[in-house]
Amino acid sequence: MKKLLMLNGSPKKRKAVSDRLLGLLNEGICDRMLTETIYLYETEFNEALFEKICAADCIVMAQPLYVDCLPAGVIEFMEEISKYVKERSEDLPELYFILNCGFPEDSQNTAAIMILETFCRKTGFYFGGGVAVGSGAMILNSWKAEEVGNLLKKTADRICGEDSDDTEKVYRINVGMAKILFRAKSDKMWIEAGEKKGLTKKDLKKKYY
Amino acid sequence: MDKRKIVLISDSADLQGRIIEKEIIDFFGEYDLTVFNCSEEKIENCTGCFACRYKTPGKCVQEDVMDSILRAMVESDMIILLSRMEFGCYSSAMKRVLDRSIPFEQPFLRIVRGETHLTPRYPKKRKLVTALYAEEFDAEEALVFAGLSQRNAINFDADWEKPVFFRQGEDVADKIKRFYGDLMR
Repeated sequence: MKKLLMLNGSPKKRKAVSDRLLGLLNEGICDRMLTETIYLYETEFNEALFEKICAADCIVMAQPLYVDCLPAGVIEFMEEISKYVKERSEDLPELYFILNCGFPEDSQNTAAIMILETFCRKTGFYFGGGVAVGSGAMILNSWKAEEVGNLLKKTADRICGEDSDDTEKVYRINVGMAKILFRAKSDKMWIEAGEKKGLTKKDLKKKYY
Repeated sequence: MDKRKIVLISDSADLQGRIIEKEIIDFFGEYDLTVFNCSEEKIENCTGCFACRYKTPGKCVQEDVMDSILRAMVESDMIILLSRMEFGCYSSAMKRVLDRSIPFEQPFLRIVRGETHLTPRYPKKRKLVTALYAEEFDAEEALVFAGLSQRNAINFDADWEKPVFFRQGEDVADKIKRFYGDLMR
């Protein structure tokens, strides 16, 4: 049976939206491949890890968008594995991705996708595409959650090598809410989180420095 | 002496990076320049806890040199990021600093040119300048980075400046004189 490694690249690890998205992808794989999850933010980047990754048939990198691109720990992983694969000649796995941007626009993931493509081009991983999500945390609690599951299912089919008429490599989805409404909801959530800690809206704007 | 405050955050850990770092420091000899080398400092990853948003607003709960870096960024008129280029992106050492710079912004959203972003905590007219180096890289990579740096400037509420790129073997001093000379005019 073919092997799929799921690389969770979120600092929040098991509590991350990325983990929930990987869970949905895994449901889509549905025992067609052997799967295993690796949490990059708690794993040492050593030869044993890279050997395991290179031996897999496919990998999925799932991470949040941090400051317009990939989180530092994910870049560190890419730096280290690129040094490792430079010395080898065997075929590398297919690389898929799940990117989750906290802002409502899934298009904000574009720079991160281009960086992953560049990584593939320079190292020899095959870029298989993936899913770009906007407003991940909110979407999974919305009426669009099912649609996210469907896109991940379609991606799972592609990973499993099932032919699809779809020529699209990257699926995109967001919560589909007016920006000002999203802003109001998000701001309210932070105000309430602050209030639980005894802080006012003004406190949250504090100039510490 | 020029009163503009400049902060240089550098990740240089090899000879190529060191040479560029030294030339930038020399160029800004007459300015109020603060330098941090994030490869030499022990900086932890952002843990995504968001305490800086709703528990200790504006302040990261991890105690390290990031406190000084953030203070310098807040007080600065220009932020220069000198980073090795990795796949059209910053190095992980530099990105770690950027990931930890979230306290620079409020948790509240604003809409800039039709796109949702965070609201600056310390609004001020600042420049974000990036200098990227690697032994070799192609035009496509430079383009990917240019796009990323443009987005970063929106995020940091700073004026974007075209990145400057250094390949191995270039005349660093000359390029810096031309590029930063124009910038500071």
